[in-house]
Amino acid sequence: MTPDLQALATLDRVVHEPARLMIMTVLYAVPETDFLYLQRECGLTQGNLSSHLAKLEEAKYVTILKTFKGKYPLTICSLTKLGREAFEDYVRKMRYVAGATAGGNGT
Amino acid sequence: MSNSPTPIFLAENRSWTYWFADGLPQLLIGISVMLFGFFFIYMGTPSLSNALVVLAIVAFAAYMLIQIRAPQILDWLKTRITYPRTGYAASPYFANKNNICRDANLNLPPAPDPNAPAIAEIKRLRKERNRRLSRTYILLALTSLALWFVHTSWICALTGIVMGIILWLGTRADKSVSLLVVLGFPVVGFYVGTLQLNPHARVGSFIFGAGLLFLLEGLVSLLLYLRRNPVANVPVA
Repeated sequence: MTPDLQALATLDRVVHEPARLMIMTVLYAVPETDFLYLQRECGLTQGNLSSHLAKLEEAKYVTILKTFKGKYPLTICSLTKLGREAFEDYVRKMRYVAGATAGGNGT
Repeated sequence: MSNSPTPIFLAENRSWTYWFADGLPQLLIGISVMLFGFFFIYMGTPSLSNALVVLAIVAFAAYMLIQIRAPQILDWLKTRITYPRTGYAASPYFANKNNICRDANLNLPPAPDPNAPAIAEIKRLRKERNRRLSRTYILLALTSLALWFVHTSWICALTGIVMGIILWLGTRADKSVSLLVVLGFPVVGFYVGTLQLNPHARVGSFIFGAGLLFLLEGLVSLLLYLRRNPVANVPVA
């Protein structure tokens, strides 16, 4: 394999899945959101979002905190330090791959 | 690299727009500006009755309270109106500083690479937005000085037009202020110009009118938001 292709092989599969990538992109840009906001932003069903969040939580990329604001229950999601690093690493690799594909050196 | 907005940029921008979608921030701005305008009108009026003096002081105290407690008041309102309908997203408006190094709040070391492309993009976006908003506020404040120093009736209309243009230029990128406010400023200016007022009352009336515009915009946005978003069933992850 060429180095460019090897970069593809090292992509984090937890982040690479499209739905999880969407979730992590939103959580990267917004300090914290609740389940409903994430669901609306990503256009996922409740079950789908729950299962992807569970996988991200299992990988320690996301923290999920169940709390209340007044009488309204909130399931607050936010990226952990590990999750942020994983996302940045993923973005860096994808940019490298995109740069290499476009004929540049990808840096 | 392409200059088209990336998903990170779009997600950040959407959370910013989301903050204003329910009209509550505009409503609060409107109320606080109206209170200040009310205070300003009566501050320089000679021989006020005691009741009006008390009212003006109460208006100023309420204005200060809103200024100091705006995040808490907004959060309280949004908890009852917005979050049950369309969900909660921490506002980038109040989280500019602690978002990127949020882990620092948990006594963890900050992310090791502050110049990572994704972080740099969000930082740049927020810096540009803050710079644009600061420039708009400063220009609005400088323009309002004309009302104070030039004592002719047409200056109100001119100030209204200039302020409308400044607001339009300063907020068209993120659409945080609607055309109702932008076009309303010249109208308020023309109207205040037709009144025979002393300089204090003229400035105060103009501020009051500007507050009324934000209040109206907030009310319209809130009504539209409530109509579009009935209360959702609260999901649990």
